[in-house]
Amino acid sequence: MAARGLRESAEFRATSAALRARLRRPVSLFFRLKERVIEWFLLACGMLSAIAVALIFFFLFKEGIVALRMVPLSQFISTLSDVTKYDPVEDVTTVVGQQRDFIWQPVSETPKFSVVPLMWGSFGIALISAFISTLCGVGIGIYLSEIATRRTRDIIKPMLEVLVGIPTVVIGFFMLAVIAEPIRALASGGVFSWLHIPFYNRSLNMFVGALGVSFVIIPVIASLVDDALRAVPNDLRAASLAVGATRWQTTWRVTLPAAVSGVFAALILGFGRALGETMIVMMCAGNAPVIHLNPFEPVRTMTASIASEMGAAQYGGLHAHVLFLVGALLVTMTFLLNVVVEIVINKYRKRIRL
Amino acid sequence: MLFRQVVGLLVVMLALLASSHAQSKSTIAISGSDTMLALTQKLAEDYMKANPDVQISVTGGGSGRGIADTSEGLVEIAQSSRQMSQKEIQAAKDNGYDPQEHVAALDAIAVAVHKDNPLKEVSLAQLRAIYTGAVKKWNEIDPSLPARDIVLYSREANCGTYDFFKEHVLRKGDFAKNTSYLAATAAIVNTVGMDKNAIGFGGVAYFVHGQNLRVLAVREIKGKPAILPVTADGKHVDYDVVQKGIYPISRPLQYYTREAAAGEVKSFLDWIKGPEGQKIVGEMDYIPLPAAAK
Amino acid sequence: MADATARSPNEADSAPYYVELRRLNFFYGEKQAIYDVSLGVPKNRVLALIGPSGCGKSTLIKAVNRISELTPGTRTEGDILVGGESILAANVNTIELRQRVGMVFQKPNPFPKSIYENVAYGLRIHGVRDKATLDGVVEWALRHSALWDEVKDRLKASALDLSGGQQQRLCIARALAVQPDVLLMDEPCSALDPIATGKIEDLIQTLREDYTILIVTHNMQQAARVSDHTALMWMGKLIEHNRTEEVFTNPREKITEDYITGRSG
Repeated sequence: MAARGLRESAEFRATSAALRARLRRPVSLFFRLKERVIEWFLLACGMLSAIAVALIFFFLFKEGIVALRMVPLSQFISTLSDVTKYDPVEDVTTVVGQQRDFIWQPVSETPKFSVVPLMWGSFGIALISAFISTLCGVGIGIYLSEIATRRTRDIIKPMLEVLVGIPTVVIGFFMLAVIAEPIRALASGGVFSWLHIPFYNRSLNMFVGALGVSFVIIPVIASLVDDALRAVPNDLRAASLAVGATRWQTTWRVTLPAAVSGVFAALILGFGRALGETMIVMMCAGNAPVIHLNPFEPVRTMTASIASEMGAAQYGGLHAHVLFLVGALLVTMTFLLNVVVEIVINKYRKRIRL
Repeated sequence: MLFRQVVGLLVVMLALLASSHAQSKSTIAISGSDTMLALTQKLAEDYMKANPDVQISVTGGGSGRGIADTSEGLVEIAQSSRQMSQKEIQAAKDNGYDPQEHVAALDAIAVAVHKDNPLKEVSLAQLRAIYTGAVKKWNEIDPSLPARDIVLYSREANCGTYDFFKEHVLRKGDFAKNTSYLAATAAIVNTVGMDKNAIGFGGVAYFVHGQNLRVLAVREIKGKPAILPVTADGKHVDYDVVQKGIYPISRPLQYYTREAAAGEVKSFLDWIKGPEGQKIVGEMDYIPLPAAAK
Repeated sequence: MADATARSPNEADSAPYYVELRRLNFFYGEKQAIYDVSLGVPKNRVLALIGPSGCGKSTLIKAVNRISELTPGTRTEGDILVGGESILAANVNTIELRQRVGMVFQKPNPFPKSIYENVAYGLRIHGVRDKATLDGVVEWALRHSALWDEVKDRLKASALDLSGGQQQRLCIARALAVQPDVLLMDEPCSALDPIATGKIEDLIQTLREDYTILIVTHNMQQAARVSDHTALMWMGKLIEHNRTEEVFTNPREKITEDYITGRSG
């Protein structure tokens, strides 16, 4: 009743007319220009990242392809290398022949650039650390999203974020100085003789490197899995519980499958990061470019090679070009990995529509 | 509003740029050998104390990096634990420079094993056999040693120690493929002290502080005596054997300048070669130049 | 207590309550949501809970399968009996309880799985593995929820491809598959169009022969159409509880009269 009265009052009509005139005025040129400028700025930001990616690709391939012209392709797989022999009687060591082998020996009279041991190292580390951090990361993610009380969550989540923020060189140093040798001592007998792992002879090896890398990836995966699970509507959990499912059954059979695309993306992202990790593997993985089926032997990764050799490689020289080629290879693999993620996620999104 | 922020940012950047140009100190930039990094830093520190007008910045990166930086004109002085190669000298000449060498100290590469390893001495040929992979187990060197795999450690290829060892001991042969390359000599010292099967090498100064390891006496060729580069207790460098050139794996440590040193650069290098500089060289566990040591 | 008996619709319907709330108080932390509510519903009857938003009716039915406990910091006082046994007692297993007391939610919430797997879910988590039983129960539940004819040719299709009304009937089938006695329905039609709503209402009429049903609804006509008894909640309190036609034709309380005629709430 009161409202109707107001509407009819002369004062209201005057105010309303004035306001209407102000609001229906054509939008000023300045205003439109401002909108445009903001749009352009944001577009430029978007373009910048695309251009950066394109430039990186272009540059890596341009520099890398030169190496392909300088060295036959087969040399990137395997090369001949000297075989030496020691004569204890005369106390001399002599070169007795050559054999074909996967050798990465870039600083040499005859440089040898087999990328096979480097790829072995990179993928070995990435696979092992992906395995470790999938177990732990998904576990922590489930705990945070499904089990932890708010207070526990408020403690653990920031700690994970701190862990993500620790420089990798610090983690590498920690692994090198504090963790590596005790693990070896433990594995090769010592206090827990029942734990004896045969062939665990070297304190710095692929496993230790992968463990260090896991420290970086676990919080990333945990955080993403937590987000993915929390994006699952509570209704689904309630529906599952309402037919008599336990909490664990609900998580395992309903929540996790509903979040599968997010979880999968987290895992691939973790794998990609493991593939690109440099400092930790350089410090803890033993850094020997050798192919060994034993995961407790050292490896050298593509990233570690680039990082530690680029400084000494003369720009424009063969070694530098080969390192660019290794970089191009690494970027290509990471790129393909991302494509796979996109495809899989889109496929799941269509099927699940969440 | 955005515009105003951008302008503000530009003003601040310009101010910073201007202020960085305004300083009046003469600066000397040095880069190169990681082995020499601590030495050069200490030398620079003391020199700057005595000469407050001079600003010296020291970075590592490896001898190769330092030499490259110098011949590209990025730094005034390169610290190098090896001598410039013909290629590098040529590269500098191509850039129009005439690099000059200034020997500042002597260094010896020590070879060490874990203290539980009974091995006491080794010949250059044996080292070559070990590091090229001809010998894989300790008992192939000496039947009294354990039948365990030898674990090889080396510095990265960007370091003078690597080049020196490769040229001098491996006679330009390749390192065995299962050699682990570590980023710092200190890492090698630590790792050899932890790993019973390990062998590693590096600047002798690092190894006198190492724990749980034994520096090996090295024999040049059959018939010659094996020489230990440290005192019998392993706690100090044995200056004598290095200065006299008896220890088989020793080398000079030097600085390179683009051209004949002049001005502040020259006085710094002269100071290093003089009694004050050489005293620091000794304090830093390197071996002083023979003339200055007397 | 005298007050509660006076409001009881038992004077018209002498059957004993199958689901019964005794002096129920419910708290979210410090905040009380339900005040001293006593009411019940006999076997194979439909009780409609009506009232304005936030009056506690949803909270009330969620207390019956104890799904309300999932919100941290809640507290229940008083007692709830299903089939004569207290479900708040310490030895009551919520898993068994929720198998006996099924629930259908406000928004259709099928799992992102196939139609078949949605219905079979409850059986699978209770350990039923053999295909013949699963097939049989899935068909039975889908027939019972009047969905079988629409989906029998595409049981492997994703449940999310169904329409909203079909999804809600699928959720009913999912609840029925674990053989409950009681069905709780929390505004089951609020997200559906009138035709889908009609189908669910028809379904409730047939389900009533086998199940005891508590339904929360905002829709007065729906309450009038589907329920035997109606209870009006107001700010956490029970205002009136009687046979549905009594409540709608001859309300005892002024609040009830205002609410059903649309003058308040």
